[in-house]
Amino acid sequence: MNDGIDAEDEGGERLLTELERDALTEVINIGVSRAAKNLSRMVKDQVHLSVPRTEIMTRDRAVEWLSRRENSSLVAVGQDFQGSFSGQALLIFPEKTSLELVRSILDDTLPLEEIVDLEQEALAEIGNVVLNGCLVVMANMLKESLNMSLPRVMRGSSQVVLLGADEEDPGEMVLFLTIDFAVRARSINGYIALLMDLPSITAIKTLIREYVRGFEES
Amino acid sequence: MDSSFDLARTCGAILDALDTGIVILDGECRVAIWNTWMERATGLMQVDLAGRFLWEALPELADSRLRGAVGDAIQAGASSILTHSLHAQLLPLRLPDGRPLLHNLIIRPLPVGGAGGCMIQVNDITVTVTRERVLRERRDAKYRAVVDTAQDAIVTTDTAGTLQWMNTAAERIFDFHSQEAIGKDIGLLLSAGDCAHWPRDHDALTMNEEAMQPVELVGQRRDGTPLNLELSLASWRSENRVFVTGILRDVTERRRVRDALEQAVADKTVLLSEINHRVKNSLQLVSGLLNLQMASIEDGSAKALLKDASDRIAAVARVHYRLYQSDRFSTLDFAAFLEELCSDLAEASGTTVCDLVLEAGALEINIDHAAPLGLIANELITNAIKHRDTDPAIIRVSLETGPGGYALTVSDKGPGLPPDFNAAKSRTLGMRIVTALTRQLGGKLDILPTGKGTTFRVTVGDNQHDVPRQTDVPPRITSGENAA
Repeated sequence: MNDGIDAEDEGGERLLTELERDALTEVINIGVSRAAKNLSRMVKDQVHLSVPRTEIMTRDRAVEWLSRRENSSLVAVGQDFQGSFSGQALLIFPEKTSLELVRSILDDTLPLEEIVDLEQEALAEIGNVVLNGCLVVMANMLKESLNMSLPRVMRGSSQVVLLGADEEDPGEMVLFLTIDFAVRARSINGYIALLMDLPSITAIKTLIREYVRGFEES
Repeated sequence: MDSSFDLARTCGAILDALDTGIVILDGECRVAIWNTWMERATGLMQVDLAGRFLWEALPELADSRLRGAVGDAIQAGASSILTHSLHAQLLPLRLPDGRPLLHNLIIRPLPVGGAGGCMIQVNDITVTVTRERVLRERRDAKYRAVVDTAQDAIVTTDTAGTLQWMNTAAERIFDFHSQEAIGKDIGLLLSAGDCAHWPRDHDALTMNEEAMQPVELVGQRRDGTPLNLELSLASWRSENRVFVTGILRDVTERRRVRDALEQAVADKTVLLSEINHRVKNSLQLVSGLLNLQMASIEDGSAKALLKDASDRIAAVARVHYRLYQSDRFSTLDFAAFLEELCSDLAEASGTTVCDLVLEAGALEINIDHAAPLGLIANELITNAIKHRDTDPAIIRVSLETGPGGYALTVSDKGPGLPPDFNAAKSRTLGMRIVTALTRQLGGKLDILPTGKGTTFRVTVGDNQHDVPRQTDVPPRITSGENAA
């Protein structure tokens, strides 16, 4: 995410300070490494997941940014969450690398047709592991309880994936993270998007501020 | 109170009636409900399990992803799916006939008795998985029979150029096991220079007929040995995704044969050229010997005879010279030959003696015709020069080609022929050579009426000069008087 997203333009800076954003990135990194641990156990091999940076922008801006970066079709695993902050979590891949990801997670010896058949199911579960990892750690660290739905798989353009059926609520913000998967000597890049409305962002901001303060006091 | 009691009983009955496994755990992961379906599939009874920790009852699950998912559901409210594709035989479930029961798990948070808890739903997917496998096998049977027995390498990549699949022949030709190659770039099998022949991204999505034409390229084996390959490409779609399949035929042997053939042709060209060169040299030598002999002879008429013989040999030598000057050996550029012949004859007799005009259309003449026609031209022109009555002799040589054949005409403004002249009966060697060779060509010699001088025309039909014909018969010139 170093190719110049202007979070400031979108009021991202006003929503989260640099310090708060770093704290959130750290929380998500802990969640992601928990997910990596789970995936490693499933794959019986090392899986490294890392989230280099977090950005915050409007949903429209996120659609534009993602379509500029990935011109092919996308696959996304989505889960809804509800609690003191609510919204939708998405794990997004370019369609062509999603097959690579599934192949690297599944048994390498499986023939292509079989992998294509299993892809949907496997993607749903991989997404489930990663997103639950992030959300559970966020909930735990922020001492909040969330209710998280089962995963669903979506395919299409960044528009379809990020906006879904409802194109209302332009105020909704997206917490956008790139995620790097390193599995069995392959490196696969994807994105995590947390879509939340302004009240949820405000709630998260409050929680993070408390979390940071907790550190400062201790 | 009665109605709530009934509701609980009804709920229990529903859970037992469901054709799916339901396990409900309380906040401490103790079994609260283990429905009849679960009893049937595991052989473990609700009465034995109730109140026990699930990990105690099924210790093999203690370190599984299920435990993590259950923890997430109870502690954080997260729902999870655990699929058969990523976890074969997660729970020890059996079908009535003893075969393993294939299943997916769904774990959802579920408050039990006010405290946190979760529900594990077990879906039997044995039938689905089996049906998919059977369908796939049936669908693939014919296709496998073709690709696995194919002699050519067949490989498939996605649009990014990442290898997805390769057949047995590809494994053999490139010396890679498919497990090693799959997931790597197609560049693994192709030389760096030819890697661009494999379509990627946009090219792979927009492949047209032209892109599918076979191309020859160089591939490489595991050890780096180059392979001459012919690549035919096709792109196809599966599940809304595009793949590229290439058939790579090993053409190393075909290429070797073709190279050898090209070399043989080149060698033959050099050889033919060399032979014509040598023949020309030998004929020039003979002609030179005659010239030498001529110098030592006093008798004027004998000298003239030797000169004629030497010129005739030189005319044949010129045919061979022209043959090795061009890279065609079966035909001769007769216009170019005539041009040289005329300029040499004019030069030899002196410009004051001879005014030669040549009008020649392009004519490629069969090699069988080259020497006879060359000699005929030599005789007719020499004759015209010899029998001139004016200086310079005015001679016109023309070569016309038409759909029916070609005609060589030599006319002069000399004294003309005697009134009773008959070319066929002429006893001069020059005329005998012309008539005999014309006959050999299957042509016709005409003496055209002219106001002043003589016009000879040799006409040869098309079938005569088109069809290459091997003539072993030397021109038969009946011996007679040695008159020129």
